[in-house]
Amino acid sequence: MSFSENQVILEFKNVGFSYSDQNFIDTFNWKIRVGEFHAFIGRSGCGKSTFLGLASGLTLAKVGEIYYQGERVQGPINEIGFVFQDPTLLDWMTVNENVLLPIKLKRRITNDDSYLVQELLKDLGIHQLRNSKPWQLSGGQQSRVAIARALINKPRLLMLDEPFAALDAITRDEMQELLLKTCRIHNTAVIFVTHDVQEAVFLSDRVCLMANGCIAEEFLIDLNRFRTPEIRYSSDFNQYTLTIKQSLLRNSNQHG
Amino acid sequence: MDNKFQNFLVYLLGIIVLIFWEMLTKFFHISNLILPSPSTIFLNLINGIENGFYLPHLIQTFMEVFWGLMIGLILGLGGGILLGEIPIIRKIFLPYVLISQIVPKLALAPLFIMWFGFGPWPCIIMTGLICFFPMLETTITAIDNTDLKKVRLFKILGANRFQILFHLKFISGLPYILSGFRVSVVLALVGAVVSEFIGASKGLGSLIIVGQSSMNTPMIFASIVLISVMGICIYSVVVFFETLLLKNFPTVHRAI
Repeated sequence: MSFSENQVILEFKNVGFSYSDQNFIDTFNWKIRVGEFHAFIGRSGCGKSTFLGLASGLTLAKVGEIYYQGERVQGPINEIGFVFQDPTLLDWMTVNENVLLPIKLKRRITNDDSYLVQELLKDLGIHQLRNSKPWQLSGGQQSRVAIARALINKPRLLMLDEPFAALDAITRDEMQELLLKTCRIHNTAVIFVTHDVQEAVFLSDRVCLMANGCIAEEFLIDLNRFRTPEIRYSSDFNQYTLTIKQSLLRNSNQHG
Repeated sequence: MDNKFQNFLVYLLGIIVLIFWEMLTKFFHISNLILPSPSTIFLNLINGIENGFYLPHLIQTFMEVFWGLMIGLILGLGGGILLGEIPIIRKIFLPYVLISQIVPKLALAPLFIMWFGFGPWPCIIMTGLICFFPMLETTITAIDNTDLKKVRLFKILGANRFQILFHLKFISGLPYILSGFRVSVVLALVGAVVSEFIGASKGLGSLIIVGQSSMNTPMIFASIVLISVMGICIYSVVVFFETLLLKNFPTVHRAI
């Protein structure tokens, strides 16, 4: 346990945004600490994408302030890792080159970098595919490459925007366990956006329910931090899932 | 049907057409002035090549095609990148580019002859002008239609505009740009030969005009054969380089 265990990575202070022409904008506070895993859940159009835009610094907050490691966010935060809904790999590059892209855009690639890639690919179980092209890979393998690329800069904060939505159920379960394991190794804080309540409960320490451009409710998930596949069938797990699903329905009914 | 047999059929068709043509001219005693037989054309060709009659004309036309292509390639590629990347430049210039393409370019040939004399220059400029447009169009389309998700990835990774343009837009657009180049190659040949019709004393196009005025029909056909062979050779070289450049891309993009 290092001294930075409780350090806040990203903090939203009185931030508000809204798509519609409302006169009144709800504001909210939220923060994430080193190593924490937060899932964001909500119906389409609840503001999850806007939230990610703000959190990554691609869009700037009109209402409220956002701090990354104590400093006010004024533009894109390049230190964070980002995984999109779609793996967004570059067709003409090998797996290795795709993972090294974030570094290649900043500086020359060193032997240390190449070593790091090999380690990452081993952790993610795709080491043997390092010289393949993205179009030769399956959906799950492409997701793994996208995660490796997001982790290559050793980010302290990783953002994922429904990364497993297009995968089949079994691969999705596998990827969830792999993601948790990998983030625990690197002690990475994670913001995970999803539509899937079970996925949110399985992965996170905290589930934030978004509605109408605001965090409407937060749920602390007090399950064993070292998640095993069996947890999915425990009664606690089901209880959390049910509570959050009901809350999700309630919130979406209120706002039509 | 296996591949070998299909190839055999391709050759067979060509041979049948040639034999039919040969017999047609023999049986109906068609004059060489109207339709020379393949054997007459072939003999003319062999003689012309042996005594070095065709070589300077062949070189002349080839040089015109080559330099015309280079001019078209450089202007089309450079212009396409500028117009594709900077919307305001496209807005201002594209209407004039379109107008310049709608004007029948061959109608400008007499002007070019007045300005640049009867040498190769009017032909080179005409060829360049004809090659320019498909290059420009495909480059604009390629640069402008880059996958927005990939652009967003590059932005999140902190890439600057130059990096996004050359590491992403240009490379991902390469298959389209090269297909534009293939079209340019075919048009270059037409441009060079037809502009030789109008005012040139050297080149395969001018030989056709000489053949017409001296009733030397075999020479016209021999010139056409030489032009076609040259076209096939240039096209094959381009396809070869295209395959080389696109070896890292999914096969759907490949021409052959």
